[in-house]
Amino acid sequence: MANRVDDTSVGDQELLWRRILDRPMEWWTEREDGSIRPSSAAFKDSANEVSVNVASQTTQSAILKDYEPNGLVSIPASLPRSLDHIVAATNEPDDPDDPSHRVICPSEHLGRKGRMKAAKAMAMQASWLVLPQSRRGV
Amino acid sequence: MAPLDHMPTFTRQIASQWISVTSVMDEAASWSRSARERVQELARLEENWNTYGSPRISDSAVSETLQLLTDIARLGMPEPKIVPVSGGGLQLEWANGVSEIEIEIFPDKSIQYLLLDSQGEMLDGRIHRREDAAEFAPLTAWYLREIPSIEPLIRDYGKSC
Repeated sequence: MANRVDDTSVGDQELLWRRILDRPMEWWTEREDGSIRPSSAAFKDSANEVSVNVASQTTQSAILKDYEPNGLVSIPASLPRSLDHIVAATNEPDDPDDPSHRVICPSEHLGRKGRMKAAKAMAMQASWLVLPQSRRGV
Repeated sequence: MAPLDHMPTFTRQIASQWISVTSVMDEAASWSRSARERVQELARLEENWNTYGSPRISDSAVSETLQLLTDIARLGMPEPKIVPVSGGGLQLEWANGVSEIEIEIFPDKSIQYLLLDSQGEMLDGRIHRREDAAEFAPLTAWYLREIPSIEPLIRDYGKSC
């Protein structure tokens, strides 16, 4: 992982979008009341970098353009920061040319245990903007 | 007349318990196959399956998860939801409206768990030896409501993880 630093140009009040995979990966869970919630798996990566997009710098249609079946959820940037994570810019040469792209990274001292709790908290507090395709109209 | 009504009380109790045990085993056996098929389905995902550049689900995570499912079925747990994790791991999830358990199997075969109770209290930790069912027993007992509160787990078990 590159040496990441928190991007302070992204304010705490900014919204971060994360795509939620539909079947067969199914990064969502149906609850007893019939509603669905993103799985914490959507906020995990063993490389410790979870890609998101800054909402104010892109559009839903741009994010979902090539990923029509995906759902889309939103969390405030303050949430991962409150969970000992940073919101970092990426500027590696092989990066996609997308100025809204950021990665959520755990701080170095946060172990796997802490990351599980953080991923769960992000999943629980995420708001749906677009449901996964298989759940639309259900 | 119910099937056990004609039996003497003691025999009826034993038979009832046996039916209960075999019922749990039957249920476990019935989901074991579909769960294993689900793991195999996820094992076939191609590189970049998450569209974020993830490698394939690792063979070690797959083999460890298959073993884990066998162990968990024996403990009377219902079928888990199985989802892939970016980077090559797998995750098992249970939720019953009151309690939630997640078990993540990493590509290096290490295993972490997370419990969430109805109050929002979370307990997380590491499974040290998958072969040791005693490590799972408190988690499953809590989920199956044989232990009423997450507190004893935090006090007696969580600290050691």
